[in-house]
Amino acid sequence: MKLAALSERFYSLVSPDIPNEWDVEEVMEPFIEESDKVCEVILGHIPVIWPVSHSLCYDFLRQAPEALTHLSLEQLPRWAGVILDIYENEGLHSAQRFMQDVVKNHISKLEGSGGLALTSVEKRLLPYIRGIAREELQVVSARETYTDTATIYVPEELRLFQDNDKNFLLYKLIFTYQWGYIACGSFLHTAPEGLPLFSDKEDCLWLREFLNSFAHPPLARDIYHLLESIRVKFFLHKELPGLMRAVSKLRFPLHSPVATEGTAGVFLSRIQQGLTGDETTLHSLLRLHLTPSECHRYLDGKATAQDSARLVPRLYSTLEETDHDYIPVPPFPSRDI
Amino acid sequence: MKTIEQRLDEHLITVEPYYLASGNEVEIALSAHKNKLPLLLKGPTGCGKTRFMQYLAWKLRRPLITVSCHDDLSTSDLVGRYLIRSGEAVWIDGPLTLAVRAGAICYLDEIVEARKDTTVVIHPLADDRRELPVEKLGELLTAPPEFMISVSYNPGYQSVLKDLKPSTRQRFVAISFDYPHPDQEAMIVCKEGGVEKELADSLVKLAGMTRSLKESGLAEGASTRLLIQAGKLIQDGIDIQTACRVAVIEPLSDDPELLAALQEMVSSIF
Repeated sequence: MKLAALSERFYSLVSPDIPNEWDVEEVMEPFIEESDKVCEVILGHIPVIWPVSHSLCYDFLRQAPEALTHLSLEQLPRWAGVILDIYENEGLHSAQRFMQDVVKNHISKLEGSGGLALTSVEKRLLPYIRGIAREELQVVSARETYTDTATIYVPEELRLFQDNDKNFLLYKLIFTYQWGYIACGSFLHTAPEGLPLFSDKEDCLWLREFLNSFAHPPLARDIYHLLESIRVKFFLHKELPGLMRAVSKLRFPLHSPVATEGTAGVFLSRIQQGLTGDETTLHSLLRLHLTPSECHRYLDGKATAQDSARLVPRLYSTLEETDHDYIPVPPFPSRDI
Repeated sequence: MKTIEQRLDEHLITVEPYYLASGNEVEIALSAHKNKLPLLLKGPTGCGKTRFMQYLAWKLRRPLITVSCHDDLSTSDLVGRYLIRSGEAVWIDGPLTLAVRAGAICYLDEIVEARKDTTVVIHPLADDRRELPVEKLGELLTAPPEFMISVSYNPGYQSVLKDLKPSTRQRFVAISFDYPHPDQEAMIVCKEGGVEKELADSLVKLAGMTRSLKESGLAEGASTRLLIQAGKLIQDGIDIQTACRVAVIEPLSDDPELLAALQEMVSSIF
């Protein structure tokens, strides 16, 4: 592609921004020798990176041709995703350092350090989760495990178990659990009866506003998340008994809470451990703070996301008193990985 | 050589086929028959189109003459040809002619597989003329009131090359078929596969998952037919995981990654 055409393409992708002509020509010049296909794949990332950071985008374009001497075109999107992840968490300089050595900083991690890389399971688990969900869910590697209902974010490598078959099963559980939250309606858009409205904007996720309204949002979030995890556990037992039976044979390492006995951190950690244990343990833990009928609703699989939201204020006020230095519990089932 | 009556007897359905209606398709088809209108059934593979025709034929007490269409099918295959028997040229009616003479139902399955120059032979039967020219005999047969022509195809397989011409498709009353509602599909799998409801529900759940993978490279998910096959194997003592693998998963694809993904679904459900 000629420089003029490349520059035109760049301007069209960043429109309505009008970057400096010499900056654009400088980054586009190395692309003259690249094939049209390679140019399109690399330039295809501009609309994603440019709005985040112009500098990051220029750096990406400078490094991408060199990166492609080590990566395939299909691997480029993942590299770009990791760059954005690092930028978001650690800033521009960290992202720049990451880009400078694709072999050391990216490929060696993809190949794994004895654990199981997402890249080696994705081709199997992506159609799996799309079939389970009946939706075109996307999967992206990220430092934290979560979902925004369209994409599932999972760690790029798991090494909790020495046996990679178990790490595969853990990946499968993580994928499925994230779908479980979507299927169980955990992402409340509207306020349950009895709880305050925060915004009448249609695109506003009520749940986010609700959890952020507490003095310590991480504690409120973890309470809600664990109650929902209990719901999802029973939902998955009903929907995917084969998976849950296989998972029940996994021996998760005991998570040693960093907090003091009797605090919120310990209680929530034990609930989380109870998710992989039997119902009796879970029931005993829940009975510490829930009424018998509330416990039964959860253990009978009849509780709703609205129930969980309504329980948060009460559990929060009880647990907050026990733990003014609450340390967030890593979300199930991704802890310790 | 079989007489015409013997040939027709072979096509008469005397035992009621099991068919669970999902809407008013039976009522529509009966009305079409009464009004001498041809039927076009479209839907994915294994969703009940042929079973529906068997049920209709039984209900109407007409023989059902089925032709599986393919791209080698010629007009002679449908209308008839002269064969040499004991040194003599003897005319043998093709299935279409036989159906017209007997007032039977002629069902052309997967009509888009046949060449367009073959399918045009049905045009005069599929409009208000209801005639079949048998040029080699110099005859013009008029179909009796009880004759019906019906065709079927799978829209998922359509391409520019394999498509019904507008002049063909616009002669028919068309009924769209799809996989039944999960509850109904489970009933069908129970009845035809001989399995308990809980197992049937799980098989239907598996099929539902496979039907969402168009974008992942699976053009068509598991049909009701495959679930019934799996049920029959399970009923015969084959373990569930194996039955699902051989009867549901393996027929769907040859892609190892996709097969592995489908197997993960099986191991998650059962």
